[in-house]
Amino acid sequence: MTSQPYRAPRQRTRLLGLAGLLAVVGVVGACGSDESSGSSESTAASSATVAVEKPWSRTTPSGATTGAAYMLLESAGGDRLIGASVAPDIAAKVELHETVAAGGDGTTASSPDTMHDAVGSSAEGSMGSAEMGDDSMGGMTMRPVEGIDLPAGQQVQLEPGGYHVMLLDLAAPLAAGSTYQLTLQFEHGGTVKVDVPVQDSAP
Amino acid sequence: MTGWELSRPVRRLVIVMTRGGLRRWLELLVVVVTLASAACGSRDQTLEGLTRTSPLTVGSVQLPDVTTGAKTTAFPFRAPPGEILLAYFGYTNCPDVCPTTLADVRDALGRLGSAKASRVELAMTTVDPARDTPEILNAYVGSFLRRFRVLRTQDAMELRTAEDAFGASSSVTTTTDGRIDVTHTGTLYAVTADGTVAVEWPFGTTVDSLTNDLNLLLEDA
Repeated sequence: MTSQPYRAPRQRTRLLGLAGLLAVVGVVGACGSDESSGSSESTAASSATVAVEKPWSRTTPSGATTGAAYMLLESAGGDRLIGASVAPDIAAKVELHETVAAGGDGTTASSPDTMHDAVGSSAEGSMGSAEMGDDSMGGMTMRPVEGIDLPAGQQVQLEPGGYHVMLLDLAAPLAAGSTYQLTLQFEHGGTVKVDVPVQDSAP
Repeated sequence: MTGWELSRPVRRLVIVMTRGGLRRWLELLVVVVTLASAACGSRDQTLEGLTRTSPLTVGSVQLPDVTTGAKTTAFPFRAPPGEILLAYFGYTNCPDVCPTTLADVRDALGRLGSAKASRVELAMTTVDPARDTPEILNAYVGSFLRRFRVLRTQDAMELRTAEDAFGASSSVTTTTDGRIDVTHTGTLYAVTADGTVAVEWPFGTTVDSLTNDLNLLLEDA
């Protein structure tokens, strides 16, 4: 006569527990991470020793003639990125660069650590105006580098604000959704061809 | 405290009000909702960027406005009532820092939604007026944002005065082998309707922090 199947109390409790657990997981998952869920295919290319992961370039803003490529590099045995190139129909010149914080006396400090420290330690709230008076504070600049060392087994990031492969004199703006080929040259690991996707934001 | 403990007083109320199987469901619902609120969490109700005990006043600083269709030629650094003005010093040949910051602003405004985003405008001042023509500037910033101003002066002193007001600086130098090196402060500034800098975000500030702070600023705007 009952329209629903009879469930023993213990079983009902278990079902409730499961439903509750799923509800919690669903809600926490939904509001969870602020990180955008990773890029679809991170094109991984590797020579014998160097692994290249998550390469990407930002869509070229209208009017810009330079671009940057970012990626994660890891060499099991240790290596050094010493150059990069693209076909002429992408850009005329490719260089390795590093964005650094510029010091008041012209000295530079390696950017990623400096900036991360600065943001981490001083983003607490009010600061006295005296501390911010130095007009070299926050100055950013870029400099070309001869190579980027890849210590054995250590992942090295080429990322906004840090190292990047710079594309100069773009033949045409890099369009979102497109892909171009970048050839990386390593001291020991030969050359690696990487397909770099172009997108609006980091993967 | 766990969600279970937090929900104790509510559960007591539920127990009193109901009986039997329904009570269990409601208890569970209360726990879930409490856990969820704790997990989704309120972010800091304080600004995550940098603030000063004596805020910078920049409202009397003006620069030539070269935005396409600008009604006036001089633009003062103050937001319209109820709005926030973001100020940035950069240049379009910047492959890394400037696009990153502008993209982060775009992403933060996207998270705020169109109603709030329509109360935020970004004014970019070029530190490289020789290469950055008005056409290039409009196209460049327009690639990232819908509400923007582009400001450009070829008068070095006028640019320096504006930068000084923000505690910013820049330089453009040509090396012997013809390379043009540009240094510029990568900080993004939020200016309110009274012409003061409410908060400063150094380069590298996350989209999360920008979104959090913009929300707070718009509440007070």
